[in-house]
Amino acid sequence: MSLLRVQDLWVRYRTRRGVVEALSGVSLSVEEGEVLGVVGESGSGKSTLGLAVIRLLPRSAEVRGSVLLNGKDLTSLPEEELRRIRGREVSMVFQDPYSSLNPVMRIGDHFVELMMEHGAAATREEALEAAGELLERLGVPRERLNDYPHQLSGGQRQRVAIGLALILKPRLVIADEITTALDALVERQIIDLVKEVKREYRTSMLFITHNMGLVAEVADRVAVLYAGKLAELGEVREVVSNPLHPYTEALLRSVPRIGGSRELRPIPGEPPDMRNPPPGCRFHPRCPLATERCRREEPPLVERGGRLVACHLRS
Amino acid sequence: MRLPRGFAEWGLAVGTALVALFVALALAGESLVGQLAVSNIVVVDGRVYEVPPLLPPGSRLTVGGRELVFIMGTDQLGRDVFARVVSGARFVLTVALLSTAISAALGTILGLLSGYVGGFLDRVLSLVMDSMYAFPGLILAIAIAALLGVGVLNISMAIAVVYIPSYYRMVRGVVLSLKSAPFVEAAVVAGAGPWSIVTRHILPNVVPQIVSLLPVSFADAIITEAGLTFLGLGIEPPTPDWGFDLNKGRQFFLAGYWWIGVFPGLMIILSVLGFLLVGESLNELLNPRKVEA
Repeated sequence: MSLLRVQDLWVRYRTRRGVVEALSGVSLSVEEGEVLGVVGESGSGKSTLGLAVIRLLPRSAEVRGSVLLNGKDLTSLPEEELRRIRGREVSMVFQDPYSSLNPVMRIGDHFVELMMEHGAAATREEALEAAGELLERLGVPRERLNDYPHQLSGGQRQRVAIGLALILKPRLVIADEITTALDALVERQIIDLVKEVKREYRTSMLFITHNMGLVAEVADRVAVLYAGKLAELGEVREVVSNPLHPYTEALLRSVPRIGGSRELRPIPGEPPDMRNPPPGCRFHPRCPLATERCRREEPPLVERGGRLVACHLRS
Repeated sequence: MRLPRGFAEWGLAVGTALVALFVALALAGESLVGQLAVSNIVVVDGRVYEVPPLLPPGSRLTVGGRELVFIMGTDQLGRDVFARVVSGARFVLTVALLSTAISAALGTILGLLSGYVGGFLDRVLSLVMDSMYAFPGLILAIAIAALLGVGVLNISMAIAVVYIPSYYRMVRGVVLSLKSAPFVEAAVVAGAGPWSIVTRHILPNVVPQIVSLLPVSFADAIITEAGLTFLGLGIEPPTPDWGFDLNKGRQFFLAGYWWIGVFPGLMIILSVLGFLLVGESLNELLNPRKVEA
């Protein structure tokens, strides 16, 4: 059985200017010890997916479908039970390490509070001891426990945030664009750290990013989202070396590579307005290979050589 | 030690000195000046003397071989104005302290509740608070003080009610913006319960804003207290009080006995000025960006 199983997930936001469909029937799964990359542009629904899994969507969001973690449906779990699962079975690392730590709490107290709340430590000292040990393994000196967040660099803060996500040994960590707010050098360090965590802790991960290059490095499998729908899903190596969906290919071409002779090609146009998505294949207005059929008919998600792809050209 | 620089630092220095003076008076004033604040009877060597009323400032009086100086004169009942002014600090500062504490505590609790829980509760509380805000503060205080009667606690309650909405609105606003702050969401997804989110993540981040409001609302409370006792509400004679004495002095002012009212009035001005200076200059020093903007 898969650790995480998202089945036919729909998310709609009711806004003053109309209903926005952020996710339209997405199904995917994460296996034990596996890192699943979720890629897409802004507005593709990738962050909504992460928030829906841990049930942090705003109240205006309408959710249909199910999110099974270890067989338990998180979408219908009572608040009290959900709270026990959050942090202990599934945790999250956010995009901006500058605002995801409480400015008036010492680093150590973040750990103490979390561990005491979940009964993972009986005393303050016990919690601090465990936290110090973990931080050192993550490359943050133990003394930092006494500091306030503003005394740390962005990279160190993100390491602390990762530590907070790992300290209770959850089975699934949701990483939502965790390197986007960091500069390139620190990004590299954090990616190396994620790879190390994956090796050492065997934690499953939902690795959300817009950077195909990072996914290729970190993930085992990748789900490509476009306009709230799955475009392609498969083993990272295969998807990267031989993309089946034109959107995946376009994403790969838009990643710069140092020393590469290949031309950097941006994707033309803009992601569709999700209040009114285009008919047929949602990618057709931007697709260089679009045919008349793409404009009319929505392509189903079909299996092609162990991969899932939603494109008329492949069926 | 260096000299203060700029308006804010001078303001803080002068304000702190004034506040310190009035706090000292409130604590020790009554025992320094003795009985003459509340009666015109002086007892020397077992003999009783009466102090004449309406002595001008600087008058000297020799009773039983002892010389008494009335630097601010005596009032219409022969009580020492200086003694009354000095010991009057206690009542007004106690009331201001109590009422500020009550309004800050209640306003903060209601603001947290309203901002965090939201929905129907928020609407009802906001409506109530806004209606109170729409009322002129002093009028509302007069009504409540008249209802509750005399006594330190009663008049403090009357004033506190008026200032609850200021704290409520400020706290509620901050909570609303903090509720969606990433570190609060991070605490939510880490499984923190509502109690620990409010008390450990939101409240500590609201405290600085509350603190910056405290001195200013303390000064407001002094003025409101003086206004109430000026009208004779909430206080029982002969308790020395600036607002009450100011009103008595007003009746004698045109007859030329200016000192009865002027000195208490001056005390009201100086004490309010002291707290305002502390509040404003602290805000400016601790939060320079807000002032520039």
